[in-house]
Amino acid sequence: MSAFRLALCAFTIVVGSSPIHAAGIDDAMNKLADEAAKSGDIIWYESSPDDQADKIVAAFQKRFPKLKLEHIRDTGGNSIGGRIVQESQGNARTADVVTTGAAILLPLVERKLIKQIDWRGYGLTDDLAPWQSGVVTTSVVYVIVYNTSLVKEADAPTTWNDLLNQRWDGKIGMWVRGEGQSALAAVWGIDKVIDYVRKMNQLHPVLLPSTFPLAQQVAAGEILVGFGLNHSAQIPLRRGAPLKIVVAEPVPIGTLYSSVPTKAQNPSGGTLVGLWLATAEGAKIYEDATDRGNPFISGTKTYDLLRGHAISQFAAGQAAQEAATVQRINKMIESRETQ
Amino acid sequence: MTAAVDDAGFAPVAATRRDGRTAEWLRFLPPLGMGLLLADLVLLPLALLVLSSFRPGGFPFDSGFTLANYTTAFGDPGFPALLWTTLLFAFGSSSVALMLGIGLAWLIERSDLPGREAWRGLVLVPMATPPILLPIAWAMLLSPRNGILNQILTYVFAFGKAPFDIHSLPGMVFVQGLALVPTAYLFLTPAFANMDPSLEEAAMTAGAGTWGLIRRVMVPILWPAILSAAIFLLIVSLVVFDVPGVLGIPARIFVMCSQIFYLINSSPGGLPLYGQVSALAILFLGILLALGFAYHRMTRHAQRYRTVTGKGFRPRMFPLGRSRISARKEACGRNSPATTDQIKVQISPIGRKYQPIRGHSSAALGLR
Repeated sequence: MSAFRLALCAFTIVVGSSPIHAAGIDDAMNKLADEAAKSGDIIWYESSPDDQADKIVAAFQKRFPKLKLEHIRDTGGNSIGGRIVQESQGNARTADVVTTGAAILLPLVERKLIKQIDWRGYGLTDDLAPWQSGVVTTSVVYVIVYNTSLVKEADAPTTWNDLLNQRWDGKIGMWVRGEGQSALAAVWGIDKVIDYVRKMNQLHPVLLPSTFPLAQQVAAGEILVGFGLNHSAQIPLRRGAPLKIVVAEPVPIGTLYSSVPTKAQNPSGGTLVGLWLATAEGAKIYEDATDRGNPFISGTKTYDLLRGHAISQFAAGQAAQEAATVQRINKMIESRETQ
Repeated sequence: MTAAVDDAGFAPVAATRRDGRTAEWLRFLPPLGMGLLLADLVLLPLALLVLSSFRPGGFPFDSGFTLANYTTAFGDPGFPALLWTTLLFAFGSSSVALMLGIGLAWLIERSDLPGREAWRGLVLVPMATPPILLPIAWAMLLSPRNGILNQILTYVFAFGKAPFDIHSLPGMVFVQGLALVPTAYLFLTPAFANMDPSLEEAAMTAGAGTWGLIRRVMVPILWPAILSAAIFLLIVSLVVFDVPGVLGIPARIFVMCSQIFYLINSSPGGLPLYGQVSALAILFLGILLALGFAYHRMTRHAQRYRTVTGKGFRPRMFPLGRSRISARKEACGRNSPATTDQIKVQISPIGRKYQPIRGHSSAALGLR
């Protein structure tokens, strides 16, 4: 085992039940709601499309009628972080809660722009509250997708190594960003992932700007198989597209956390949103709206999807290693490195 | 009032001086206001850009100073390739736009192309459509995987693979060139429309052939307009994002603009790399300022090339003869990305059929 791999400290778990102390959290949320009501509306930076976010906002306001939650969509990834830095430096109104990945949160944490909150003190489990900088809201799950009309079930890939078969040369697609492959490094180690990506590049993969067009192109038969995401494949699946999802092990996942910026105007409101999204009620509503669920909360589809599977993800505290790995893999994909 | 003036002695002179000083101050107000407005709109963002480029974190209000952003941005092994691709894209698309713009301006303003008014309007139609639609439309036509035109050609001619790839540098140059044609046309139209036919007649009378007329009369007259259009198109080609974004990024072909977009949005570090972006932008700014200065000089001396005449004139219309069909095809193809005519613009037959002066050719005048 390489030193780097040791440093990565593979975070592999078999998903099990993680009960939440519902009564304690309810009390805490009610108290937070009372405090939040005194500080005005709550601003939430997140990436879901408005029509999806509207459902979450409506459910939240139904649950907490005294509060007004405003969702501001930011799909740029990095731009969420940049925006919070600029708004905080300029003493402008910034988010009260932000939902994003660890790689984006870490630079904010280093700049002391994220409030350290004892999330476990609200009754959340260690899985849901792995660090004080954020609480787990959802995880994106990387899967294999293939076209069922053009690929026979016997030929369909079932493991990550099956994707390296020569028959997919020029017919395999993947997201131009290598977050999924990078997440595999938590279990495989960086050297194995580098070798894997090189072999994948030898197959002349079609690179796509997001996993949504990837799923659509697999569904349309433009490409036969893809290294995709579970939630982005759900839309063509619901429309009856000839598409199938395969959960290959270890399952790479990327977790999104909800965090409260230090300069939040309504920190109680922000904490409340993060906490509510980590309850069974909030997680279900979030998943129903966005197709992205919380693998640590039983009752979600994502929990069921991953039940019994070994997953591979960087721990929250390993955001720096994660960012370095993603950077390395992204460069390999961009340059189509094969050796 | 009169008494007060008399008592004071110098009062009227002082009041006049005060009025004069006030009027003088008032004269400075408009330029001062304009200066403040420009400073707010241009200098302030520029100052923040420069400041960001020297900040370790890339944000203007971060602490500390560094040159690391410059060394990282310009020391990247991929930087020379990025610069080269950017220049190829800018020069290529400007050249395509200029050639098509000259052809269309000549056809519409100086030939007897039927329906000139309609063509005039149609050439400008792309300016009224969102710029991002053009690369999307061409991606639908010539994407190597699912482009309609590629599929038809592959099927009809049994090609092993798609003959065209719009997600390539030549594809980007081609589409950006087309996108800039209306601008080129607008720049060149006045020059074509205002050419004094007496100069052409004089040249023909003096024995100039077609090539001689073009080389020694038309090109020198048109040169300032062509050059200023070229510089303007080059500036636009350097800053546009639609085509590099839609056609280049999926194929990982980056020009300066799309690289800046990538560094802001998709760099894996978690925060936009404003420091490197600012360093690149400073270089970019230098290039654009140089081009802007060149453009300013070109347009400033444009009056040197004015034709001084003492009477009104109408530019002579050149007959196209049978080439009118081809010419119409060119004008048509410019406005319909769905036709292959756009790819094979036919100007050469027009050149061959070029008859400078109906009934007054030099041969007819017995000069050669």
